Amino acid sequence: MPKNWKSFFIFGGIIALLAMLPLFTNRSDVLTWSCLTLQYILLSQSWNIIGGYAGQVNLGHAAFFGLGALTTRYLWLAGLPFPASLLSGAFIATVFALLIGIPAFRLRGIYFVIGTLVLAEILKVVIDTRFPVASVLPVETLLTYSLLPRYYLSLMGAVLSVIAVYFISRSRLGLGMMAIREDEDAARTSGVNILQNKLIAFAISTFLAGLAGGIFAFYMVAIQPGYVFSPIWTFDSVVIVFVGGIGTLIGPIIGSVFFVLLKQWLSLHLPGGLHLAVFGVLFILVVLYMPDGFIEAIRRYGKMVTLGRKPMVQGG
Amino acid sequence: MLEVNHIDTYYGELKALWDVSLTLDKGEIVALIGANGSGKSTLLEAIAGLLPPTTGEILFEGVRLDKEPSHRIVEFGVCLVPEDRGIFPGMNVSENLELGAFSKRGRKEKEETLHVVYGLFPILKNRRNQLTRTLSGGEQQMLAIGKGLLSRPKLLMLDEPSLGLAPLVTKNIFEAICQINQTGVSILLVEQNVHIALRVAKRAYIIENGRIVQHEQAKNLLRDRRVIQAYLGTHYA
Repeated sequence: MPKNWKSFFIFGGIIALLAMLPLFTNRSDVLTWSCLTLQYILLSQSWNIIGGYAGQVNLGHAAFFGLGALTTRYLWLAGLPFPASLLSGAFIATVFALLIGIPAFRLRGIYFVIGTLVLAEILKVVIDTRFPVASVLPVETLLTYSLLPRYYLSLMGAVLSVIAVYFISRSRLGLGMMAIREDEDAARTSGVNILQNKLIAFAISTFLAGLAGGIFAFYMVAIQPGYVFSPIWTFDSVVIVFVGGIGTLIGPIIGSVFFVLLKQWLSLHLPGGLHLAVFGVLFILVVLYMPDGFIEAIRRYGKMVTLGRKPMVQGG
Repeated sequence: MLEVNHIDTYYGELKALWDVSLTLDKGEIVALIGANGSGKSTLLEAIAGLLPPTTGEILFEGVRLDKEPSHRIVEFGVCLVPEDRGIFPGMNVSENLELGAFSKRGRKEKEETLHVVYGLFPILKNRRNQLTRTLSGGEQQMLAIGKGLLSRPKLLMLDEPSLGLAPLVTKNIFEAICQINQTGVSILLVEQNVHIALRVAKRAYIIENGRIVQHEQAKNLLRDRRVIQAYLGTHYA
């Protein structure tokens, strides 16, 4: 499959270039933005698995990001080696997902959406009251704090999520997920075990979300425990996935790059917090006029260039 | 091969089937005839596990189907092509066929079955990369039946395969159904087009208000005055 090989080389090339980025620049702002972009790729791909491929609009994603972040942070600061802390965080997020997944997946459509949203909010309130004090890195860690390991860890996380989505989209599991997204009853009569399929998708999705949280916890100097459970993490992921292209491999990558750049630019030029309103409007516009996201717009533009004429209206 | 014994089925509080019994032998085409809302589709859904009966039992080759979830029933070789066709409009034709072979049972012989399906409906092969929602009604029905065949059913249940199709297309679909039956697949057919249903079926059950009211050889029903008046229109008399 020569076409596939081309994609593999491009993908490998981009990873190699990103891995060499610190050789070209030591500007901390560039590295910081790259860290954030890569972390958003990981988080948004994790939402893309359950929301984009399996079609289960989970608005409680922040809960899994938060559980991963908090678990990793406290285990790591308590002295556990960081890799073990990170995996424990992702594991805890997955276990929690399986516990709530069994009852939550009895709900369909809007009830699942509300259920997951409320669940994450409950968890945030609990964490806010139980852990009111910010967690700051101890002095000895601060003295040796360097962006480089954070950058490479974020890169590894992002690459892992892209590989995971690539294999899911080509697997039997992914086929079952897409069937559930399209029509649950038809999937059931085709022989798809609905609950099992959803739970596996949810477990992979939340494992990656927990990983994203753990990497964020490693990256941040100071963390307010309630903040990692903020619905912002859910809605940032949703906006990124929709803007980039839901249920696609490349969409969340494009979305993350665009999101971080625009967010940085807006927060430099707009008074505090107003950038959120811009993203709200952007989200509505994309859903209304570009429901397949930027990736579809790019694809159409590409066709237009190669054909040298206006693209034909799809569908009709 | 299939034995439905005295089942009752409810939609929530609403009782949809009363003490329904039906049998189907290997290799048979059996038609289920009735007016709108009489419980035809409900009976198929009960057999397919989408709406399990509250009382009674459903036996397929000695296995209690009413105790099994839908995705397991497919593995026993019972496949429902529902009234809304059970295909995935946002996916292309070959992805739909791929999903037809999702069960372990279907996956084993996927390539061979795919060959058979493309032989039966050559148009599907030409359209294999086309999005399903852009197919015509007849092509969608062919895809629905093809997708069903990919699960390698012993019993294929078809819910209104002629719905919304032109007479000529309906004729093609029924020719295909007869061909499928000749390969040894038993067929349980729900059909509003009573005339065509009674011509392909060997036996037929008539269902009214959730109860089986008559069970006859199909050729006798074609001559039955009551059936003619109720379902075929007086000009057949």
